[in-house]
Amino acid sequence: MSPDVQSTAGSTVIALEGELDDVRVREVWEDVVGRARAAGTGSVVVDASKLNEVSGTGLLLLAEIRRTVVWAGGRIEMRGLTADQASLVERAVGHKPPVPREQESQFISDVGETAFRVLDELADTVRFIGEAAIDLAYAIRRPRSLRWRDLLRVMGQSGIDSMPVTCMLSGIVGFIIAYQMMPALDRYGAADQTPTIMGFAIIRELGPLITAIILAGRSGSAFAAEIGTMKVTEEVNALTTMGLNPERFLVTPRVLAVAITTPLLSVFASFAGVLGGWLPMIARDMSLELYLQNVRNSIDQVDFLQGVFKAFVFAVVIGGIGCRSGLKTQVGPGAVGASTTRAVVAGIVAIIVLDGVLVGLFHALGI
Amino acid sequence: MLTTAASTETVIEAKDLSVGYGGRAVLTGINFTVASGEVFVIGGGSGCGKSTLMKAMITLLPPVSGTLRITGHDLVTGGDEAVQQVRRSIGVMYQGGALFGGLTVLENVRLGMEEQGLFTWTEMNSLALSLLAMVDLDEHCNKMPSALSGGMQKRAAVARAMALSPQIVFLDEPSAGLDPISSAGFDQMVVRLARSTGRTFVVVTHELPSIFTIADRMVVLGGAQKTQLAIGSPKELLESGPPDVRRFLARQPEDETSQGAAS
Ligand SMILES: Nc1ncnc2c1ncn2[C@@H]1O[C@H](COP(=O)(O)OP(=O)(O)OP(=O)(O)O)[C@@H](O)[C@H]1O
Ligand SMILES: [Mg+2]
Repeated sequence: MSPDVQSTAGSTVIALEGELDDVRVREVWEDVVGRARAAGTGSVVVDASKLNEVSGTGLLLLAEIRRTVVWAGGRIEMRGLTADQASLVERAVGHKPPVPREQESQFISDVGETAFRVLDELADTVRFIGEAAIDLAYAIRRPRSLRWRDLLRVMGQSGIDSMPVTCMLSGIVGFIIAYQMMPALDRYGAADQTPTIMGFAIIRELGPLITAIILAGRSGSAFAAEIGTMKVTEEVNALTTMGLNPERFLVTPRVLAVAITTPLLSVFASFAGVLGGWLPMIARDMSLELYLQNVRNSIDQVDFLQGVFKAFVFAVVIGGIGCRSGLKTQVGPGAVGASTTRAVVAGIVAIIVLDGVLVGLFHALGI
Repeated sequence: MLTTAASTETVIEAKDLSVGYGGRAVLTGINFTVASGEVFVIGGGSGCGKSTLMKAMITLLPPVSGTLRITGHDLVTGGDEAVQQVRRSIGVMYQGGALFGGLTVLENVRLGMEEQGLFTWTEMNSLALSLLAMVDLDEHCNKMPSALSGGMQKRAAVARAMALSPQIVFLDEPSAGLDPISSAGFDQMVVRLARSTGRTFVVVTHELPSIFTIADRMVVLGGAQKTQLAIGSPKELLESGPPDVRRFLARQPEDETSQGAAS
């Protein structure tokens, strides 16, 4: 069965016999190709004259032998092939593939490169959001320049449509926090302070944050997908050559829409969270009126406005990141998906980091 | 064959032009002029740089070097101002149509006019309808683009490209994805629009039937160095162009042997 191979000094003869069908090819591939490789720069003769039939894969084997020998710099001769077969096998030699880039010891330069790329991205994102904010101010001063239809559509999607899920999540989180907090407070006999904690935690922090996370998942991703698709279908190019600025045309209405709806949504989310926090209190016989009264007494307007302000900032950042990600969409089948993922991940990372920064800022300002 | 339009005003001028990506030229040595009212075809095999050249002309890609003047504005030295000017004087039909999916066909055509703010609402609507009638789509004016066939989308895109009275209309691969009959119909429409409106049309295509139907003159790109092989009317080039160009226009592939020899 196995091919008959004779090696003399500097010359290898590989004689193939019988049927070279798919099964056989698989059996002899390693062996034959290995021998061709072993011939190095010597000469190799492949004798196919005793083959009854050569299948498609058989020709591929012959081509592989030829390629191996030619690239190693050796000489090859094929005997016993029809003219068509010979020309096919000859063609398959092709170009030498590029040598794969050296993989080793690039760790440090890779880390450096990545760090620079991340910084670049960050600077670019900040610039983009800044420009979006300027466009926003411009649009508010000249409302006629605005794409009202896009604005209203996105307001509907990011506001009304998001309401149920945002409030539900916020309510559950409120419930969990109150429930987990009560035993700890009980140790100090301070379980009746739960409303105070809920007021601070939900209204200043979690209401806006949960709203923003849902916004990143729903609207940030939608912006990236919509604009990314327009990029792929050349609609963004069409806008550009029509003299219509894609930033103003696509980004402004979307960012403005979420900048309007998110603070409102955040107020609802906070309320739902506070309500959720009341549920464990039922067991302690605290009435809703008393609970809300306590929450109300624990916070002031500044706390409330702080939450609303945060929601506004988060909205602009998430909207900006989503749109930017869409506009940066590359070509190719996975490009829109990649942009969408990037929008969500970058959006969530950005708001959480930003939240930390804002906490520091408010602290420094003594708010 | 069609005769060249009487007017000799030059609307596009390329001199020693190189175009490419990120400062690296993929196409060099481009020299041609396009006269007002001409139908000018950019032809050549796949990957020879037709789309790249077109992107440079429609201001989406800065030229690498040389001169590229569109309606008198130099895209190499003119900076942002020239880019804006050129955008005001061109209309583009993108390969897939690139209609805005959220707008109806009529709104697509009207959009540029709305932003321009020169016309009243009624005027814009009737202008858009007339444009759509020119491409036989007036009865579909209230449909969404997704409800149109590929060929209809392209025709709507031509109407949109002509909406702001551009001096030059660019068409990117108009026949791609169309059946032979629709494709021939499209060619006829292009000729009709060019003759009736006197606009200059620049068409990127490698479809030979299209080239012979519509082109007053053409430039053929290609070669190992990716450059301009010839310029002239398709008929001239078929009869007396360089061998490569004659082969392209006569639809003969390169010699089997010469291809095999390349290693
Ligand atoms: N975005 C890009 N970045 C870098 N190089 C590119 C890019 N797009 C195209 N190229 C290169 O430019 C060359 C010309 O491509 P181009 O798309 O202009 O060809 P074409 O003539 O339009 O071909 P086709 O008829 O297949 O559309 C190709 O070699 C291609 O590899
Ligand atoms: Mg192309």
